[in-house]
Amino acid sequence: MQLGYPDISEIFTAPQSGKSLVNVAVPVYDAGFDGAITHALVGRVPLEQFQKFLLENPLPTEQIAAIFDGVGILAAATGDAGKFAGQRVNAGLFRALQQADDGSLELVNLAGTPMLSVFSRSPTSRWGVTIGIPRATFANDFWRSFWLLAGGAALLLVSSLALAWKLGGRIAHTICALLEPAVEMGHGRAVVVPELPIREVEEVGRAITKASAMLVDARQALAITDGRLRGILDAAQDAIITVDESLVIVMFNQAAVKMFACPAPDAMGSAIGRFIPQPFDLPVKATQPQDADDTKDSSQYSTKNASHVGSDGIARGVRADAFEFPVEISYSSVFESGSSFYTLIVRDITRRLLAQEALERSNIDLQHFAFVASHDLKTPLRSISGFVQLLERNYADKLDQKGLHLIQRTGAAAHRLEQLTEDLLAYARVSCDVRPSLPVDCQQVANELLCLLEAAINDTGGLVEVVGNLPVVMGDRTQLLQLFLNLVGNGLKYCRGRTPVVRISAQRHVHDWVFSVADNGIGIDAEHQEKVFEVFKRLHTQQEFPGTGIGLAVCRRIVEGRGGKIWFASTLGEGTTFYFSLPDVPNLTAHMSQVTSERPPI
Amino acid sequence: MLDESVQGDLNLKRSISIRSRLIWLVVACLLPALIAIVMVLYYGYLRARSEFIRETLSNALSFRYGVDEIFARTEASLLALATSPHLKNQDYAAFHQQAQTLVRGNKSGHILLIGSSGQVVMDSAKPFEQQQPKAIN
Repeated sequence: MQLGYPDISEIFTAPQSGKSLVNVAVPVYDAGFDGAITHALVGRVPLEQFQKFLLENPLPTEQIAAIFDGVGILAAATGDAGKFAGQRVNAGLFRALQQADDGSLELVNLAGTPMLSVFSRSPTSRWGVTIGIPRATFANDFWRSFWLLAGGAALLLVSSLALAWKLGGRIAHTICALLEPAVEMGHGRAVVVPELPIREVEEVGRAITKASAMLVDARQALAITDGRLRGILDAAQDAIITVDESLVIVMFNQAAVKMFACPAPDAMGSAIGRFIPQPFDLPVKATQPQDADDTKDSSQYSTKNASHVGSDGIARGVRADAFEFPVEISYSSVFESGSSFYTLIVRDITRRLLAQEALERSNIDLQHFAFVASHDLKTPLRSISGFVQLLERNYADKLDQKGLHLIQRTGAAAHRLEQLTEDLLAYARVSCDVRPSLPVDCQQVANELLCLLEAAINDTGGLVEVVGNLPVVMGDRTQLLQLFLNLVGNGLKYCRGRTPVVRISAQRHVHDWVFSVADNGIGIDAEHQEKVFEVFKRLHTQQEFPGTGIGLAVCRRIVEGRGGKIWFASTLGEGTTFYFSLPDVPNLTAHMSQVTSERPPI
Repeated sequence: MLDESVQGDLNLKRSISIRSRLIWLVVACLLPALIAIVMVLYYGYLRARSEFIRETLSNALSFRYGVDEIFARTEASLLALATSPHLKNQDYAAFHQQAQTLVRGNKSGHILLIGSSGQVVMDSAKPFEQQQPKAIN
């Protein structure tokens, strides 16, 4: 005010009246505003004016407004807060007023109520106004909504959980209803799952019903198959014995009971060595399934392992009464549930061996007879032939034409009979002459063959050619020479007017050599594949091609006698190729190098 | 319901029942929704609070202007009275009468005229005859 500006005081109490007042002072100048201040005019404003102002500007009932002076003394307030007029405002508000003229804060008012308040103070008079609302009133809406939501959520959660609990129980109950049928199905009984309220479970139930029916059918089929198998096993003439990995008998059929004179219960559980004492090697493990698909089946039969026991396929069987007899054993292995089992098929070959021995004796006798007969027939035949020739030479002029013709025919027949006897003797000699197999250089044999057939080759104008070097094989030199003579001779003979060409070659196979003798002759019909190798079997008349029908039979006997095979491939009118195999020489390389160094040039 | 042997064959310890799984499913579905709703609610609360503060601050400003108007009105009356010729002529009796008239018209408190020495020259609340100069603070 001394500076010439109006001034507003804080609230004070008038000493005389005891009223709370506010001074508003303005300066009075001597002469206009440029003059000196002579007086001051002070207007005293009672606080009732502020209270009246608040009453004339009502706020919502829950809100409280208060007017305070420049030092924070309450001048007026609405409602019950009016009783705090003359007191200083809340300390928090007072501190906030020090920092800003406008703002908001949360405070506890003089009545002790937590409030959310805003304030505004005049920058000129420094008086201000605060308006607040109890926090509880303001937050009521929020909390009302919150608790409403919380209650609803809790109700929803509880009801949802209860529903889930009940629904889960029903589903579990429905699924558990399948357990008993499943166990029943496992026991092999047919089950019918009733209708269930859940579609997926019902589908599983139907599948169980169907699977149980299929299982029952499969079990019945298995029982039938088992019965059939049992019938086959019991009806089998051969003894069928199954042993486990420890060679302990686990199955013993009726034929085995008869063969070994031992009841099945007695045999079961005993070692196979009790009946077949000869040791034989079974694979330690049967062939295990290799493919993924095979593992689906718990058992795997291995036919690859089927084999025989004994070097010659013959073993010794022993009956329960210690009587021994020869048996032939073949076995196969089966891999089942992680274990190997072997099924032995045992055949009593006593009778067969006896018959075989008798047959061999008979054959030997027959071969001796043929040899002796052929040999003994040769002398009288030569005599007959000689006498016929003498008769023809000395008495030709005394005989008429018819007699001469008869003598000539008799001579030809005697000559043919002599040839036949020679061939028969050769055939018998091959059978009787069992000489050991030795390494034979076929190249040398071929050279000797060419020398022996030189006249025949010249007569026919043909060609005999050895393609490449012929190998060394196991056999007999004389027999191999005879073999080549027969095959090459046939090639030269069966040519019917064309110039014969015969080629000899050999090709290495795994364990043997396969020779081929190819000609360009008349060929052989394929249907005579076996017939041409039989004794005295001929495809042509004597007039067409002379011969005895023994040559190829001798060839087969020579080849088979040395463990080989003989066959042919032919095209009618184009030629025939005879093939025969002979075993290779062990340690061939060393032997070949030795033979090659010793071999003279052709 | 199930044979004990069969139950023994099945390894049930690690498995969870359908009922438990359903309950967890319900919880898993409802819990995020509830959390989201609470967050929305709280966000609404903050917005309402902010809106309340903004509106109430506007009211407080209005009230402050009202208070300032009370002072301004008093101040204006005093300034007008300060230009009274009675005061220039030092006719304090007339000035007293003029002041009383002003106080009655405004229905406000009383007016004091204070001299340069700090003495109360005139008090409108007292009759002019009873005026006795008195110093005030």
